[in-house]
Amino acid sequence: MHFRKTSHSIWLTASLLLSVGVQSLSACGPYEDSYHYFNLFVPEWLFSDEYEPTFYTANDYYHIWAEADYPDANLQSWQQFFEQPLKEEPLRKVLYDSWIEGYENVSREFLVKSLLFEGSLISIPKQEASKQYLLLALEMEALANRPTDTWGYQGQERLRPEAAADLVQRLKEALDREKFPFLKNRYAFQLLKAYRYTGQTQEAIQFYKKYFAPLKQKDLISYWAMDHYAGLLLQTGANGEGNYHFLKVFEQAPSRRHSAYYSFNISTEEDWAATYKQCQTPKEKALMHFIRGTRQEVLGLEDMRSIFGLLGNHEWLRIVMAREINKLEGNNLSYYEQQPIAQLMQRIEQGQSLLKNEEYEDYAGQLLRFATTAYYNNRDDHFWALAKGYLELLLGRLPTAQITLEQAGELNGPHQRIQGELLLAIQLMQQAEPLSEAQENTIALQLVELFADPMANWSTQQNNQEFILELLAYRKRQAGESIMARLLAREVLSAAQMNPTESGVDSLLAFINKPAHSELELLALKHFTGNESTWSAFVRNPKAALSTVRYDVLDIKGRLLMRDPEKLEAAVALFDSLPTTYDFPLKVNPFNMSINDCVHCAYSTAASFTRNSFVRKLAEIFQIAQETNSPTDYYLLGNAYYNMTYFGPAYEVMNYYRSGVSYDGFYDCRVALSFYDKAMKYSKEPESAAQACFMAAKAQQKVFYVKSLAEMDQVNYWYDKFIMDDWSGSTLTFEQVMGKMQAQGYMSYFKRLDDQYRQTRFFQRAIRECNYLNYYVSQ
Amino acid sequence: MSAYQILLVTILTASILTGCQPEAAPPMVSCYYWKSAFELSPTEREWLEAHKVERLYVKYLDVDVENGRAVPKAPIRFTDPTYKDFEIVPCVFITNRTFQAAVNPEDLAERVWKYLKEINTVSHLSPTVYQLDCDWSPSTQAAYFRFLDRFRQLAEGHTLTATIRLHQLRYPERTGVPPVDRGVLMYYNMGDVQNVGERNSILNTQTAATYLTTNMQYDLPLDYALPMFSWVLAYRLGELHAIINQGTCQELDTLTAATAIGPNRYRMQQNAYFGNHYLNRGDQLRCEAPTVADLKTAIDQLKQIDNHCEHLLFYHLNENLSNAFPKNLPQHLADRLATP
Repeated sequence: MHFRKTSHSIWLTASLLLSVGVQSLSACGPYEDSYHYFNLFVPEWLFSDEYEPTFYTANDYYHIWAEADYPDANLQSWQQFFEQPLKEEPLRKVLYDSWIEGYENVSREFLVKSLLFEGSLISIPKQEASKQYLLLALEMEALANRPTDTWGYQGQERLRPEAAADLVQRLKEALDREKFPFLKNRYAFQLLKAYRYTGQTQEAIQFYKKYFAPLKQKDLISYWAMDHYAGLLLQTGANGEGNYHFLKVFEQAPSRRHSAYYSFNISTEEDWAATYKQCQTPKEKALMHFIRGTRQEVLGLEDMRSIFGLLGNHEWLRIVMAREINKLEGNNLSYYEQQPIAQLMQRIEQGQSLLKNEEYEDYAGQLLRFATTAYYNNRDDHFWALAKGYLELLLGRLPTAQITLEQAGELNGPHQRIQGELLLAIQLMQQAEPLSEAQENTIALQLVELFADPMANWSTQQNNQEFILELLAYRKRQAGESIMARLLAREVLSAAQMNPTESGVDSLLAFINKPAHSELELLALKHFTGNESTWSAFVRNPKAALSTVRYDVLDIKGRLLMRDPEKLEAAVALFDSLPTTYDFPLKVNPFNMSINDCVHCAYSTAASFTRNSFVRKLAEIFQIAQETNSPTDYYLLGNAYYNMTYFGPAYEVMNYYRSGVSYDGFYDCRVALSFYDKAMKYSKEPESAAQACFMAAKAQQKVFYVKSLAEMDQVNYWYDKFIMDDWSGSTLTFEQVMGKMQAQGYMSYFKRLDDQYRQTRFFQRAIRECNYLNYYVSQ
Repeated sequence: MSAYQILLVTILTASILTGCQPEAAPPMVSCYYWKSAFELSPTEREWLEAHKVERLYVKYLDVDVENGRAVPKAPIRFTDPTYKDFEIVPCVFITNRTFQAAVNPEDLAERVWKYLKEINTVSHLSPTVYQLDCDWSPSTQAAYFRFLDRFRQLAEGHTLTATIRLHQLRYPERTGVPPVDRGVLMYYNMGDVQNVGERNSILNTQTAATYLTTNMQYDLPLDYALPMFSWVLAYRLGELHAIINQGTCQELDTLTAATAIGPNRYRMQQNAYFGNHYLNRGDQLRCEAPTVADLKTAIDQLKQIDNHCEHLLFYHLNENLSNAFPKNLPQHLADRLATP
């Protein structure tokens, strides 16, 4: 995944090669850190990731970053120097201090001294020279690295002045002594930094001029040195020269491109002119415009014109244009708006643009004029057709956009993907009639191919795919196809299992049982179930997958039926119709009671039921209880219906999951309460009646919790508020809640227990073990 | 009735209405120093001497959040020894999002206190008054007040002050009153900077009037801070793009890339640098500064508060301060505040 981040940090940390970790990069895209907007003009698709920091991001908080060594250039240069490449992991740890599995507890110094060259075929002199250098470079980190604890006015714990002076001296000596040019340049780089970080600015500048400036062949480390030199020049007020050197670093050294990009910082006409004057070629001047035009605070159009004037149709020009288009997306296709697609469709229906005000429309119009000129002058560069077409789309000119994109013909690679998604978006926005089955089949294939999503993951990180899915969901919602709307809005089976409704499940079943499905419907069902086969395999034989999802939904329906004891027989029949894999052994016996709830405890009374055998038994007991008014059976029914709720240890009979933060699934204790009432009513034996009364009190307490949570202001909610254990030290809050429970009449069973069953053995046991009862009685 | 008699009756009536109170001593004129390098220019020094300023409210640091952690930013550096000529009140500006980021308030108070002490030690200062500045919101009130509670413990024996915004003055039952010894009412930044149609977001006495009532009270003794600064607000694509501190209308008048489109309003005709910002063609600019008349009105409005103001502060000391306003204005405003 390509994490798009940018930074304006100019901290030139890198104690050569030695400090900051490297983040892995790949080019999947699009990924916008902020999840801020629907991003159809995907820079990661269009451009190489070497320009990644210039891509648009709407999230300022992710600006501060810097690559230590893109793209592992330093590591590779070391390997080239060694000629006999070393094992990469320890070298990576030494250079970047990265977390490397197996080397977590090994110091970098120890690695250099003992492990790095173990078994290596590198010549001994080269090994020894490298070791000496690396150890000295590690010492330099104490002088050069950024402090980790910023809370110190006096600054970081740097080397004491004497130690720093000693280090400078040793670097000088090592530089004089070193014979390997590769290492000599690195000592020079360290010395330059040492001068800089000991405040010897002029010495550092003079040293750069003497050592690095005359080098005809500049290697990686020479550009890293130039990066420091440019910073030093800015420090001394030589802004034109300093910025120009950052420009050179940006151009020549990808491994320092990020640093140079954010350090190139011009804020006055004078500095701009002074830097421009330093430029020796049109390309260098164009690069100045490129860097400025891609800054967060700039509208890039004028700099695009300058780049075009200097270089013509150059990649930098296209990057700036893509960035400006992304900016329009970022500020107008917001992801977080309430019903963003509905608002957008409303604008389209009213013949408006997709942009929020006249200023945006004016700017998009200017960009379109530029793109149109570039398009007609560069017909073989399909980027401009895409830019023109998309700007027309954003301006609400859908038919024109369609023509532009279609006239571009058959494109390849990323251009083809963007062309495809834009044309699909236009189709979904402007086609009045419902989608035909053939169209839906095509769209299914496009959703897989355009977004390289053969598994139909519909990842939220691909928000251009989400844009298309949202448009489809909107159309289905408007057409009254609520199931497809839900599926296209990325509902998944686990969500359907969480809080199902009978009507929702029945509609879903009816949808699954349709005699035929379009491929879009099949794709949506594939995503819904999390089916792990590829789309091509799935679509060849969807029957097996459909029968699986049918069983899954029937299982949900069976559990829903169980909520009503009158429908237990129907639930039994339904569960029996499912494959045996849907049955499962129960971890606890739901008929058992306990004074204190513990949903995840391993109870000593092992259950011998499976889910199906238990439901069958439950249905039998329910029938017997109704026929005989047996208090014991009503009590057992109460226990089962209490234990199967969210609050009980047998929750898995009725629920698929148990949330740690909210009451989900079956959490209604009123069913259990009604059975306990009957158990008390028909009981002739005080001990049993007391037990049923106590359990009724527990059920009543949970009814209160559910009601209170529903009424509670979200701000006041916190995890497991209604568990006494979490009240440690907060007696006031506990008493407030207990008082509220009593005032609202939700302690009536505790009262009854106290009034009528105080003399029972069970009461004496319960009052010892149950803090709530104890609290009530001690009032 | 003769003219003399009329005058006498008028004086008597006025005396009755004002409770025959003698004029209170005018508040001391002070000002904020909000730059991170303390170095007084000759103009600034002259201004301070002219107003007999003894006390300077110096921003020691900002506290903001980075990667979920509270960090100090822009710490003060005393590069000019003349700070020793003044009583220094260290100020700390803490962004509201610092407390939104779930930092531990007590821990933060300890860090800030330690940091301030380090600055004092290095600078050989022994301040007796400290000021904390945070525009807290309902979601951060508890955390900020816990911060203040802990800070107060740490700073025992010192006077602790906090800035108060107008809405906090008006609705203390909603916003709470910070647990400090004194407040400083910030009588500026009262408009909507986001709004391209706003008249003057720095000091809008019409807006201010809606927050004040006659004889209103606050649970803390208050000092008042008035604006003496200017800025230019840049709007791009219909939205606030940048705040250009210390930018002035005079500078915009001479900026060839901009054209006036109304009172205090300009439009960029071409891209250009201004005030260390790169502005683009089409950007709308609005220059803002308080007027002398508005400042006088502000003083009259502040008299409605039942309070004895000891220090009248001006935000903030800079080169433009003396050029943009009449030389005797601060003292005049202080005297006006003391006049019944």
